[in-house]
Amino acid sequence: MTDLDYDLHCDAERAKKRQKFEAAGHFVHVCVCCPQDDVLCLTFEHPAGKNSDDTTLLVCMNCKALRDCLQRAEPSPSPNPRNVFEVIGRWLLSMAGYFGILMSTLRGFGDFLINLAKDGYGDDLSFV
Amino acid sequence: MATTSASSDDPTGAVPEAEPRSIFLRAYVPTDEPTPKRRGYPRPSDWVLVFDTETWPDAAQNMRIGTYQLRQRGRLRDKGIFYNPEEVRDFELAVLQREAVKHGSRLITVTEFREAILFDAAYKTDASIVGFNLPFDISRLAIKHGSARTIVRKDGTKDRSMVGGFTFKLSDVEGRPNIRVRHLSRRSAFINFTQVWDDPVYVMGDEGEEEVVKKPGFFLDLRTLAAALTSNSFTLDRLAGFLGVGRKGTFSDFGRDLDPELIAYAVQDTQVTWECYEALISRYRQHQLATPPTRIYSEAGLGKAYLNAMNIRPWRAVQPEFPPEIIGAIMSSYFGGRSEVHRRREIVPTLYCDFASMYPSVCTLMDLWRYVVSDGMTREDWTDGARALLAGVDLAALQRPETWRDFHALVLVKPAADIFPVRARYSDGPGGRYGADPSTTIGLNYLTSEQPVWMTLPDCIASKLLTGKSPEVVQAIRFVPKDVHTGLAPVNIAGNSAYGVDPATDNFYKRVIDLRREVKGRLSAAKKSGAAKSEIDRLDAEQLALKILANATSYGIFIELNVEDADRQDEPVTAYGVDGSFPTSPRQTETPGSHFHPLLATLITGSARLMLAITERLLLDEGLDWAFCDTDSMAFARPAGMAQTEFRKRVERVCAWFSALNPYEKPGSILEFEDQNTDRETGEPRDLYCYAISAKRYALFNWGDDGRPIIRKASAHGLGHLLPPYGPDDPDEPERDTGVHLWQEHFWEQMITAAAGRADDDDAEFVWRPELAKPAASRYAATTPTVLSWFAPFNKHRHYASQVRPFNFLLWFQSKKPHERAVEDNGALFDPRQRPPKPVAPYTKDLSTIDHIWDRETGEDVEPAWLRTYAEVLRTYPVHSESKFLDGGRTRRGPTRRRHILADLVWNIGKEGDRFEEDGSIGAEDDPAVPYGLTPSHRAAAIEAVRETKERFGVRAFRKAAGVSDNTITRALEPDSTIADRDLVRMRNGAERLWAADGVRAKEDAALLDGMRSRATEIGVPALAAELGVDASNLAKVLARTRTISASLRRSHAGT
Ligand SMILES: [Zn+2]
Repeated sequence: MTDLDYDLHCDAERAKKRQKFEAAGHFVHVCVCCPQDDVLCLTFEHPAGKNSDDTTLLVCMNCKALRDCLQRAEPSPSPNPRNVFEVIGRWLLSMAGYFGILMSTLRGFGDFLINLAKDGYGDDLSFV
Repeated sequence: MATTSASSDDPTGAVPEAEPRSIFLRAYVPTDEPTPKRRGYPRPSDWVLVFDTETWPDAAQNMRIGTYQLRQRGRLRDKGIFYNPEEVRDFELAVLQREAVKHGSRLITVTEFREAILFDAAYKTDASIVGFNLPFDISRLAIKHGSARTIVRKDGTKDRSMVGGFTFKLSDVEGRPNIRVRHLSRRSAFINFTQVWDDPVYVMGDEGEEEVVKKPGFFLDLRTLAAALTSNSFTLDRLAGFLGVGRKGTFSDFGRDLDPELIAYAVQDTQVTWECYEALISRYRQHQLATPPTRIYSEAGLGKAYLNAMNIRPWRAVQPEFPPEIIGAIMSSYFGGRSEVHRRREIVPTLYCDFASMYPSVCTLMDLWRYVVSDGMTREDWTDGARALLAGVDLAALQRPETWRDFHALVLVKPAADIFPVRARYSDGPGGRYGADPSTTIGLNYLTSEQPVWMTLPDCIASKLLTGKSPEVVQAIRFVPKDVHTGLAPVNIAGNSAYGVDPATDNFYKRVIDLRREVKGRLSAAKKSGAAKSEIDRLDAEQLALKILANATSYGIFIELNVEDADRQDEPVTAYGVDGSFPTSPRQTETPGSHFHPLLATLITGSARLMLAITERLLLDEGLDWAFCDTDSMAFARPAGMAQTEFRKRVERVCAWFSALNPYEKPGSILEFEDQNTDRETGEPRDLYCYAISAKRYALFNWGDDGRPIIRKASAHGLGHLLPPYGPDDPDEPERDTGVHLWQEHFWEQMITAAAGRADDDDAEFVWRPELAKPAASRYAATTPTVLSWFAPFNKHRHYASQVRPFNFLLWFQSKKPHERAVEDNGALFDPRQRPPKPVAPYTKDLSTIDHIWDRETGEDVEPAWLRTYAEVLRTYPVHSESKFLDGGRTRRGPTRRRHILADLVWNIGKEGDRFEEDGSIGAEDDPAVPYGLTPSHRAAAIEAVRETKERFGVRAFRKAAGVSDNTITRALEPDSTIADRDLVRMRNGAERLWAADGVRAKEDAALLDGMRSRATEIGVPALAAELGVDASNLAKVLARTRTISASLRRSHAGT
């Protein structure tokens, strides 16, 4: 295989993935928790569990792994997975998990910007 | 009929005698198209495949070789030459191998190109697939083709967007999609991938294979994008020149053996295509639009992309529940621009003026932008308001811009010799009034109609200006835009933050025109001061973008209807017309475009007609005349005996009148003097003359010192299908400042010279150069399955590679009719085997190189004696009639007069797609239409007439008079009869003949009138009207004998 062949192969896989996301209505392909925007690294996430809810998010495999780790600490499923409180509860826990991951992303980015400023980058803010 | 003073045509003010004719009104047929929803667009990846093919110069146009480049983010990743093994001989292959090495290109077969490059590399990675005139190149790669069909979506709705197109098979490998191509215009086509067996694409998902939607692919035809961004048609070479990238040079001998020069040309072709792509894409990116460039098919597409960028939701999406009955009424009031010749076939001293940005200007004056950004519209009855406005409106009121803001109304009028746009088949004699295939033209004529018709308020005002009386208002509807919708976003036009527009607060059209004027001002300053070329180019590109944007958003998108052939088995559908709904089974469907908003379209064209009517009124009041008008321009005519300075002064006064209506920042009038009124070199005023033949066929010229006409502006209308006969002397370069080709200028010179000398130009021989004695050639491409089917007899015994296939282009010639042949050959008329051939030849740019013309049905050579020469084709041009007016007959000269049309039958019609006639002619001046049927009230009246006639005269006499069977008469009288309009009209005409011959009706009517008159004297007209259940004012007219007794009045009377 040449470099060209490898690149074409990966981009063909990316095209399939993009198409799948677009079919589900996702036209912006970035992880909800971090800046990952390579579609190969993204996957669907059903915040309330696949069987309970149609809404999906795009999330990267890293963030999903973190979220799965948190999920293992959540209460075990109740006997009826379609119970309305069960569904909403799972959805909220899921959101809390992602917000948690997002918070560390935001902290990291905030620190990053402040360090940039310390190094002398950036203009004065002006309100128009 | 006692009417009108001040008719513009006739100083005596007499309205001509009414001629009964069918009139045609547009109707609305809803389709099952889902309301447009836009969540986002799939976007191409950063891969680009550019390719091009070179073909044999024969009728089959088989591919010999092709070249391609595969690029990622602009970086060249692969390039190659591919060849068709069937068309390349061994020694040529050796040349190819050597040259491929030299060019650093891979050498592969066309099959390898299709499988490894087109599918594995481009299709799978969502690459942009780029070419110049892609339909032709794609069809070169095909191994088989068929016709594209209607696609039924999962939800049962139908996608007809590809009907009338072709499906190309490019691979024998299972699961590889076909490519569908549907030709839209010479500049654009829909192209996408499809599936051979309609099976879905499967992708590996998280839980195994999952079904996903098919991928349409990303095809980008540079010819299309260039046209959308520049409003211009280009060849690749000219586009390269325009964009300032390396030109490819020209090459003509594609029939020779493959040699290094031809191969280098092919390699360079793809390189130039890539460079043009880069340059065009960077121009497009400047606009900062979310719409991918592969979805821009025209200037209108660019306009829509801007509307989308401003988050403007289309009217049909915000108000899908709007009643179709009202849309039908709106559509019935829609007519295109006004284009007429008033002084025909005579040389007239003229001054030529045109309205600056007519459509954006009337949009601004009426403040129509509010509708574009609103959450829909409400409507209210405004009958009294319209009556009051019409009664009071005059020139002074029209000079106040605020008057124009009240024009958002449709008026149901009962025309009685009012001057309205009338769509009819004027070229028909009285016998051919009821053809089933209406090819109609629109003329501003006197109209009288029993059946009320919808007109825009501006049209009613125009009529009042021209006739001096208000039309009779039956009803009026006023429309009011709802609130501005939320979430609108400002945009920077052409990405320039100085050109910001806020859709919620700005009047978009005004802002865009103001910006353009400003940029044009800076452009001419930059040119004068000798600024850098890059600066001039940038300003020029910006003013062009602003112009395209203003035009693309101010009219066409509101009346966009995409016409497709209907499926045969389709059920009758409901149509909505001038007087309600009716069932119809049209042979075509009209799918509204995404920003369809017919109220705006009809108000815009109505107001443009009002502008011209005001101009006409003003010029008549100034004692002037006019030669022709065309949508937004007016050629004033100097009356005999008036001095030029006086003429100019009066025209200037007419223009100045419009200053008050100028909505823009830059002061001045919106009716402007055109450059043609001044000398080309000195810029000083110079006497301009006009010679006009019929609508849209005119020339403006100066007399040169040598007594020859110098063409300043001319029309190529009705000539555009002919290839320039001069060959290299008349290169296909950017337009000359006359707007036409050199040979067309020469043609106008000939016609004018003949007309000036009155050397009977009816018989003028147009052989001013030897080329005009050659057969007249046109270029036609097999762009639709129908056109291709004309080659079926030729293709029948040929194998695929030597057939004429989709998108092949050929030269077409016109053959003489047998009676024309008979002039030279008496036998031609009597020999039954002599049928005119259908001559074609392989395409060439240089007509002098044609060596072989054959019949596309038999494949046999065509005798030159059969072919019409340019001179023979042009002979009828100077006597083209203006049949929509009186005195517009072929050989007549001088002023035309308005006709007076009595709307005998009112038909509903739809728009028809572009038609190709098999004999190579195109109905250039027609307003082509598909019939939807008679209006319900005319149907009911016709059925009533059949009933009366049958009762009065008996079946036998009726059958004979109408030429129909007993059964047809019986069927017409069944309850809810579904009898065809055609039969009904035939019976009605038969009935009219019977009654007329009998004289019974006249006697009866006279008796009826006597009876009613004496009753009216007894009890008064209002009481009698109440008794009969009819309108009092109409009854008064009947009693005063200014209106004839209608069938309904007869019925009412019989009922009392
Ligand atoms: Zn992530």
